Amino acid sequence: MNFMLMLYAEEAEGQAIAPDEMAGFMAEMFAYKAALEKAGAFIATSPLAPTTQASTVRVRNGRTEIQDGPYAETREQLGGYYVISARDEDEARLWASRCPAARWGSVEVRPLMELSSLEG
Amino acid sequence: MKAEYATHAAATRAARDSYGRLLSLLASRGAGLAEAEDALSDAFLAAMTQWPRDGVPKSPDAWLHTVARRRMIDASRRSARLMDVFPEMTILMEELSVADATGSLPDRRLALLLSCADPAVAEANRTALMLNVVLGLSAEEIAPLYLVSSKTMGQRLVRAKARLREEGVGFREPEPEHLPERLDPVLDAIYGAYTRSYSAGGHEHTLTSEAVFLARIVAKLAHTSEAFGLLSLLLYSLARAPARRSPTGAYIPFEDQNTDLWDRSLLTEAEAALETANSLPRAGRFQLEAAIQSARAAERLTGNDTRAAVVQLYDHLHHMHPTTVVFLNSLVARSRLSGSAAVIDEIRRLETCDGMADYQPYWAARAAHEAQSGNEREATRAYSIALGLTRDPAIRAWLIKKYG
Repeated sequence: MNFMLMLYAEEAEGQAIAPDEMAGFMAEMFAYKAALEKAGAFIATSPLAPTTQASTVRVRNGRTEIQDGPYAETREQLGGYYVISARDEDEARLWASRCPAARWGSVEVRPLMELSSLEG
Repeated sequence: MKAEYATHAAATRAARDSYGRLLSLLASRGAGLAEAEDALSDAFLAAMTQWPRDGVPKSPDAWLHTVARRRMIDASRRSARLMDVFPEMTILMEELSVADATGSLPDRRLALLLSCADPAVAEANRTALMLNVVLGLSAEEIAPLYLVSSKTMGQRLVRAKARLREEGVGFREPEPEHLPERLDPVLDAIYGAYTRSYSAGGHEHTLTSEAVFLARIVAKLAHTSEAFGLLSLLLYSLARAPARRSPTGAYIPFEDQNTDLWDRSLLTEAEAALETANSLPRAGRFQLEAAIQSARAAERLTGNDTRAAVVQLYDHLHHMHPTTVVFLNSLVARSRLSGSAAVIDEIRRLETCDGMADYQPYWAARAAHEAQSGNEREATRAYSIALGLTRDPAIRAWLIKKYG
């Protein structure tokens, strides 16, 4: 089964972190990826640019609406993701609990659905 | 503050102790676990209103048992949940200091433990069920150990109890000659509770002492070599807990621990449990693991070199219980005796063995041995994987300080 781990955190807090402390966090994130790869669980990951660079597109009644920023204002913003392969949801949550970002933000675990299960 | 804490801890302990005894007794009279739990919750509730008013009965447990039994045959049961009642019950116990008024009631907790580890209950749920029904821990308290929500844990517990009922699993104790084999899954589940809470670190660590409490119950009631072996093993680990963290919460490995901080009364109890295990028939895995802990503790306490003895014990253990984890530990023991060069190749070969890819202790040991052998690049790679697999923040910080 594949899962997406969505990393949420307060952007403003993240931007206030001193560079050398940030280097430490990045090293931990690198270690986390190395562990995922070693276990054969890694599929994909990427950090996301801050929500100040986000825009939201909606088409309603034939009208295209563009909004600056994310769809909804929330306390924590989506800052990156991992796609992993795990035996089951328990194992996916175990990986989420090891994710360094779980300590300063939160990690949402969602199973990816097979496209084929949505067809027909 | 500290004394207050100790009293509260003692009261919690007393409440858990009588909870398991009463529940096992009620459940063994033919009712389902869920019914017994409801009746017991009601009895606790009744105690909270009546005892402060009418005074505490001479045998609180007998009183609770009588009320609960009456409730069980009472058609109009209320449905108070234990998790709502337990904190207040703890407070009540605190005020009462019911030292040992439990003597007159029989203790059926062994039967209860055996049914929790029955094949009808999925292996993954056995430990959780024991913590819930024998110690009265709530789904909220158990859930973090399994990385599930309280709601999911609650559902798992309800389903497990329903399975026991459907399968007609009775609360009976087996004939003595069948006891050791029936006991194995019970001991495995208790060991699982300990290692789970131990490796989770953080707040979940507090559940290690609950696992030890279960081991004490089993050793006392079942009196087999392996039950005492497990108790001894867990007590050795628990005894070192005060030395495992610095005052600021930093992790301190075995070799660097200040042995003055090891809990002497727990060590004495561990040693006594090991002696009892040794005096009983059928040597087993836990007994050997306890013997290893005993030898390693003795080395730190007396300065006598026990490294060769530990290697022998590990060889014996691996013969009896041939798992990759035991083999890894035996290699680490050999490395302490003969140096890392003697084992580094074998440790490397373990990398592809089942279960090692995401086994944190493997990568931590690998990093240490690569570093000792002067392979800095390999050490860094192994350290990185170990760090990525670590949940305990204290261990994380220790790894970063050592290799980062």
